[in-house]
Amino acid sequence: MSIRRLYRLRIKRFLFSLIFSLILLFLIVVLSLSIGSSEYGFLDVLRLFHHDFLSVFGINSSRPEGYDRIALIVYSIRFPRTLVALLAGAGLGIAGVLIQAITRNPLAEPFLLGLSSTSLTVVGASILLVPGLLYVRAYIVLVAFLGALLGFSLTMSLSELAGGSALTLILAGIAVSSAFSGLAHIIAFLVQVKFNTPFLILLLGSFSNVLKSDIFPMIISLLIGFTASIILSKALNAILYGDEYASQLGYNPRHIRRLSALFSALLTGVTVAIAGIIGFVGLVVPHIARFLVGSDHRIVVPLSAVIGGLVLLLADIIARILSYSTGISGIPVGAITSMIGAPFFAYLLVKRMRGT
Amino acid sequence: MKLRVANIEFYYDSTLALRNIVFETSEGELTSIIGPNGAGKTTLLKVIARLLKPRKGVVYVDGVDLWRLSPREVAKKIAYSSTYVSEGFNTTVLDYLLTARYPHARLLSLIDREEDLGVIENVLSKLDISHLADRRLDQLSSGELQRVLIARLLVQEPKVLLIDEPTAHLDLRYQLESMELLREITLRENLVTIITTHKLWIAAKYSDKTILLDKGRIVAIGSPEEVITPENIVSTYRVKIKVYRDPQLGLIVVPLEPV
Ligand SMILES: Nc1ncnc2c1ncn2[C@@H]1O[C@H](COP(=O)(O)OP(=O)(O)OP(=O)(O)O)[C@@H](O)[C@H]1O
Ligand SMILES: [Mg+2]
Repeated sequence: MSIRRLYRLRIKRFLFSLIFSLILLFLIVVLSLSIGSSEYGFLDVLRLFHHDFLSVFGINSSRPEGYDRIALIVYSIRFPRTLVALLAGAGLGIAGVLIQAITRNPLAEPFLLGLSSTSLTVVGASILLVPGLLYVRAYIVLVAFLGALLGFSLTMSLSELAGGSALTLILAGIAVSSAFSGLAHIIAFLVQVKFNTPFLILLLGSFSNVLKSDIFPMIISLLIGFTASIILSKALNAILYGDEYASQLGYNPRHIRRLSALFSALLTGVTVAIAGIIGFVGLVVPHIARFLVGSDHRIVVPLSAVIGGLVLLLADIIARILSYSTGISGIPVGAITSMIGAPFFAYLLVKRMRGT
Repeated sequence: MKLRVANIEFYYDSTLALRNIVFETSEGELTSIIGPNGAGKTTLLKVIARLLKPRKGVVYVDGVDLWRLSPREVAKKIAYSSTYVSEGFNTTVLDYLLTARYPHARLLSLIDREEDLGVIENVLSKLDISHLADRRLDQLSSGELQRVLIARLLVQEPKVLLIDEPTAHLDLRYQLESMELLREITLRENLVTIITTHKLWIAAKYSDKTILLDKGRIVAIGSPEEVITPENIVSTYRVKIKVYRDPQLGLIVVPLEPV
């Protein structure tokens, strides 16, 4: 097959995967908006969307009977949670892509490398030290970001000390995340008791306390992280073949690695600040994206953003359905992602250790 | 195009690896660096590739100090066969070759141009490996991989080609084919080509200039006939050799025994 045909084929594959996952994402967004204690279903929300979409173009200007109430519930109550879950998933997916590329380790991801637990520990500790922080989202996000960065540096240094192989990186990550997860538990308990605010739930990740005001920091961080990752995508492609190769092409691998770590910490941190620790999304999503379109980061990054949103939103829907059907309110989304993600991790581990 | 290496001195931390390296080579010339293990061959290539900064001395590319150029400018002029890592990302030959075009694209541009695909297509068919384009790198045989690595260097379209042991892992036929190809490309594209090799017969057969390196110093430099002599080889490799000069076959090198 000629190179040009091969190349066109991958572009087609990318566009097809992108469009397909966007359609799927739309359906899942509608589904997510139709789940709740009110009795409106999937079709009601779809009809509302259809109507409101047309009215943007001046057709059917007033909503039919009863739809104003649906609109109120959908737009102001369910929408923030749905949007934040989607953005968080996109961010975690990209963070996973970045971390896997710079460590050249397809088993790596923010949670497994200890970014999330360290981040939550630092957030909790800083709230204990400066209680006023609890009410200033921007500070919490900043602190969470610094915490995630700390987690990554700790894991990297520990892994280097232990020899720096693919496996020691994961083991170092487990050491760091276990230590900080223990610490995070104690701190979360203290915060919850002292300030009488739901904080323990963040240990397993949940979108049930998401506020409208969380949308803005989420969007900003995702925009920054996404743009940066797209700009870095070619350098990440080069770095996959080794630091020497990347230098040989004119990139500075140390800079690329630092920048990528920074942005994955930002994307992880903002999610931890708002929804807590959500593991394995950053592991699973890049694998799905690469399975669909290959390893080129120029297309893996955007596709991972869409698939990340899709996956986490789906996990949140599952968590909510479980909550409603069992009557146990507030089943954490992080429990769902771990249940699905951990077996996948085990599968990758076995495949890698047996293979090459 | 001219490459001039002036008085290079290089240390790894405090251990001397290269000392007083002086030579010059111009376009269309294939130079081979020989010398025993640890002589400093790879180190010298890396210094010329701007991957290592010498403590003293300058590498001039067309009269310009290498360290006055930006890394990207260097990448457009010089291709070095860096060690290649594959870490389970299922990258394909095409993925790899596309990255070699990055130095030629604009810094923030994300698209591959028609021209880039054309270069890749040409190089692959010239090396007779078009059928490998969609294969995963970690599933190639070491000979196939070696050819892909050479393809990458050519896709980068450099003026200076630096290859560390281009015939490693190749069977006899591909050793010859690769070397013929390197010689042909060096001439046709007017490249400055520098290789390292442990095979004296390759240096003898294919190089215009041979540099014998030992303990970080140049022991001999000149045509293969001048450099590959029993005296030079025994004093550096500690191996006895016999050398015949055949009017048709050129230099014939026969290793005899270690001393
Ligand atoms: N990264 C490094 N740090 C410290 N010393 C090094 C490093 N790389 C190489 N050396 C040392 O520098 C000297 C030259 O090494 P170099 O790799 O250039 O030799 P070479 O001629 O390429 O050998 P070979 O034929 O085995 O490939 C050797 O003594 C080697 O041990
Ligand atoms: Mg060497």
